[in-house]
Amino acid sequence: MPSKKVKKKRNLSTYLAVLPAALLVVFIVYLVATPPSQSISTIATTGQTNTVKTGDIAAPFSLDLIDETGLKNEKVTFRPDSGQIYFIDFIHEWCVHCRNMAPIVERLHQTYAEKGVVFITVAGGYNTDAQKTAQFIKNYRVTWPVGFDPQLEIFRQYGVRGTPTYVIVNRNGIITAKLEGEQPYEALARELDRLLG
Amino acid sequence: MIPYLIFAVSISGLFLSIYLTLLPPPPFCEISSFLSCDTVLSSAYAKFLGVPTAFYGVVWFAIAASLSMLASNGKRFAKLALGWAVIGVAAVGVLTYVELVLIGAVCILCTAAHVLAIAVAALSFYQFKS
Repeated sequence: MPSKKVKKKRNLSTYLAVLPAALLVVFIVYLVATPPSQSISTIATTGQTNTVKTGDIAAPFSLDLIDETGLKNEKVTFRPDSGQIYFIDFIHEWCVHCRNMAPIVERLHQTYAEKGVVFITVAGGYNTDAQKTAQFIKNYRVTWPVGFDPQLEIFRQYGVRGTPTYVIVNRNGIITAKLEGEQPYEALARELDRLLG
Repeated sequence: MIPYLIFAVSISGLFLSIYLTLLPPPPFCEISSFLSCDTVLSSAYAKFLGVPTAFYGVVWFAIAASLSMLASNGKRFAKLALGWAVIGVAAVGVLTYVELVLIGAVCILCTAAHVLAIAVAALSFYQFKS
């Protein structure tokens, strides 16, 4: 016959054995109800101070131009009052989701640049440098202007919380879409078609 | 005492794995291009069979915690716990290979989870022997 103390210990062990299993079940239910979005590489240092949203007026900016050979002695200038439609994508060369999206953005560029949409890429300098960014431009055949944002000033200005983030600006300089994370081609094309239509 | 220690370590690993499954890596995790949680957690290997890799950690630690308690009541469960520990150590080996060789970066929070898994395995082995 087990003593009272042993019985009590066994009871405690049994309760404790059930606890992690219960935690696991609760966690699975939570995951099914709210699946985590992992298609964005977050940057903890941006996005907290300035939350730019759809309907806001886009802020102009000017950045050093970078191409596949490195930083150039030229500027990439975004002027929202120029009467053009802009597609701005915020990336980091190390961001896997940005690499996944590169062919989609290239396809968008092929289709919409000739319809008058101006493409600008803002490449961040968080945990990277101009040389690596130039390599990204070369590897993914980015043929439109890329501005290098080493201190993430424009990222902050646009409240970019992670990469990739896509900002679409209409002819009046108003932000009509701000999409975070990997996007299907159709979702981005739909936003541009809406402005061109 | 040992079962409770295994339980505590497993629960720590469980919460760490839940964190890695749900939330983006914290800023202190981005030390360099090599020591970068984001590089690892946004890589193609961050998911296995469509499920976040960290979720497998949640399952492993939850079962390890339960087994640690059940093992204190019988040798059969102690054997199971030991077998489970071996699976855990093998998984840590594979994940470390993936980080170092295939991704070329190390996530320190993932490494912390690996250390906890190895600690659970070592303690389970000790429990089984004693």
